[in-house]
Amino acid sequence: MSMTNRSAELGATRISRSVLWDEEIYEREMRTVFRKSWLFLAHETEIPSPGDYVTRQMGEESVIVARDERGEIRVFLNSCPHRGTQLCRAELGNSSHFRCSYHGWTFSNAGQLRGVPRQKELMPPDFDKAANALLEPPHVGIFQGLVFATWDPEAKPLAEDFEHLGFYLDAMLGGTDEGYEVVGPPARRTIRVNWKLGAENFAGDSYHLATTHESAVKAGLLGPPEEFYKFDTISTHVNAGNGHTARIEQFPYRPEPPAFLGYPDNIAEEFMRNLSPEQIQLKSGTFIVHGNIFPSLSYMDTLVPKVSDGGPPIAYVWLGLWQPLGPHKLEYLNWHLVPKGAPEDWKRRAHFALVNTVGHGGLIAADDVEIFESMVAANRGEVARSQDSNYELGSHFKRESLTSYPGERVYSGVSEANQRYFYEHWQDLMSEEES
Amino acid sequence: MELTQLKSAELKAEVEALLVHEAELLDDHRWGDWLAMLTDDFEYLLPVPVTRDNPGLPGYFESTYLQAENRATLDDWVERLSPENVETAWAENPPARVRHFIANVRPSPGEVDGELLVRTNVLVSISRGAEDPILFSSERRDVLRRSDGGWKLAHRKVYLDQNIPNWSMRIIV
Repeated sequence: MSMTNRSAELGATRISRSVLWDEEIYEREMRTVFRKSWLFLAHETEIPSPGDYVTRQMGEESVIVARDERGEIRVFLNSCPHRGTQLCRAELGNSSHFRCSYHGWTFSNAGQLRGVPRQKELMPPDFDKAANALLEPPHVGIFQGLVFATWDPEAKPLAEDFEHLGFYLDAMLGGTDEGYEVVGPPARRTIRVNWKLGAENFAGDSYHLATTHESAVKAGLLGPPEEFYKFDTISTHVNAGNGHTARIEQFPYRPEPPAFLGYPDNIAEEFMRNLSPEQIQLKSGTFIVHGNIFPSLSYMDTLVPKVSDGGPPIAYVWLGLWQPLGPHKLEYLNWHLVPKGAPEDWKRRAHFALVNTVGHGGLIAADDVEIFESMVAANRGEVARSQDSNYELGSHFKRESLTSYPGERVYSGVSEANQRYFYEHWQDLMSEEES
Repeated sequence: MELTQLKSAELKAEVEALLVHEAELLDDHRWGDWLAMLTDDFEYLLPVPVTRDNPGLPGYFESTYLQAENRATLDDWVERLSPENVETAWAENPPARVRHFIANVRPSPGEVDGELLVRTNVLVSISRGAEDPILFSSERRDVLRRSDGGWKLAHRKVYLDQNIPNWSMRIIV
């Protein structure tokens, strides 16, 4: 089954619109893309102490992400090995044990079966507690505080998966002495969107800014409106390996010495100490670095040039998870990460700036969601579904870069290179299962 | 301000009338008139709801918001909805029909003299395009401040009863 029209020279320039609607394609994504990829679960500061846990999804599987008594992060299928009852019904909490509400089987927060009511009396004498531990995905990996897991026993280690992307994640989250922390639990909402539309947009759609976000551009949220088209044209698109992407937009001048726009002085000093010269170049004089961690976690490290309190521009680090709930619906989870060592009033200003742009009805998010929902709504019919979407933009550009940033392929200029790359990797995984 | 010093029935009627009037301005998209009801330091906050395993702990996370507004963000929003700009306000054009139902208005003395804390139950319906209407309930906690013989809205915090909202447009609950 081919859902992309793809050439070695131009990449995946046409994608069938059926990928937004078909149940069959969605089910196959669950069996391939979401079984084969590393999936984002949480930031480690959401569960700082032993016993802390949050419940999340891996594809359609409900999982518990817990810190056990030894301080190690564990991931368990949120389903009792006895009869499949959901173990944790809260979205966050702290517990040394998980006790099933059906027959009372009790598990430690390291997943071992500890107690079976009336075991001696009712269970066969050779009943094996060890064989009834909570199911764990074969691999859990942490990168810069981001917790991932995969169902694929053969998966390459996370650090290898992030061979090129790691440079960008290190620059985003590895520049401070004390690391980053979440402001709080993720903001959540459900929207009527296929998960790929959000992911591919954040992967690198620089083309939509001028139209979708015209209202935000006019309001000065993306910098002085008259300057907008100047820095729009110097954007860099990175195919960062394994479907991961980055897009970089820097102001047309290189500040000397390096200037980390929107960050407090103490944090800027830490960036200078902790980052490599190339990462300093990436972060200095930069408006935004964003992308998508395949399949469904989008990220951005961005400057808000105009803040509603009238104060100086401010920066934030944001994560957005497009958690599929069927082909036409998803739960959208949003995290705000701040450097632990930043002043408290800076953190609050940054949070307001984030909420105003990508929060509920935020000036950026509202128009994106409107467009994505309309793309799903407009392609329900058989005729519409049999059409392709066009991803030719910039496919004739040379695969080369004016910079030294790492990646499989790096492009300069406004292009749909990252969306093509997203769908190429998606198609590769989907094709592993023959129909 | 001691509640006993106030004629509570009269006060309740006065506050209720004010909130019903405010709802009319919101429902009728009379943004300019609505902004005139706010103090300069007005803040609007929508804390993130959470389902915890411990029912003794609050069901909201007070330092993380779904939505956070002040006069400047609201001025920007109203500017976005102006006839000159509304064409590219994609999420709000065509507009949704939004209706507020106000109930259980409970005024009590505020933290400082000249202020009232008002808890209100609010039901909001949002209807847009061909979609089924969205209906959700919440509790407002408003701070009203005495101003020129009347009241102005100084602060509003909204506690949603939806744990995961199925709407994401910009409205004022």
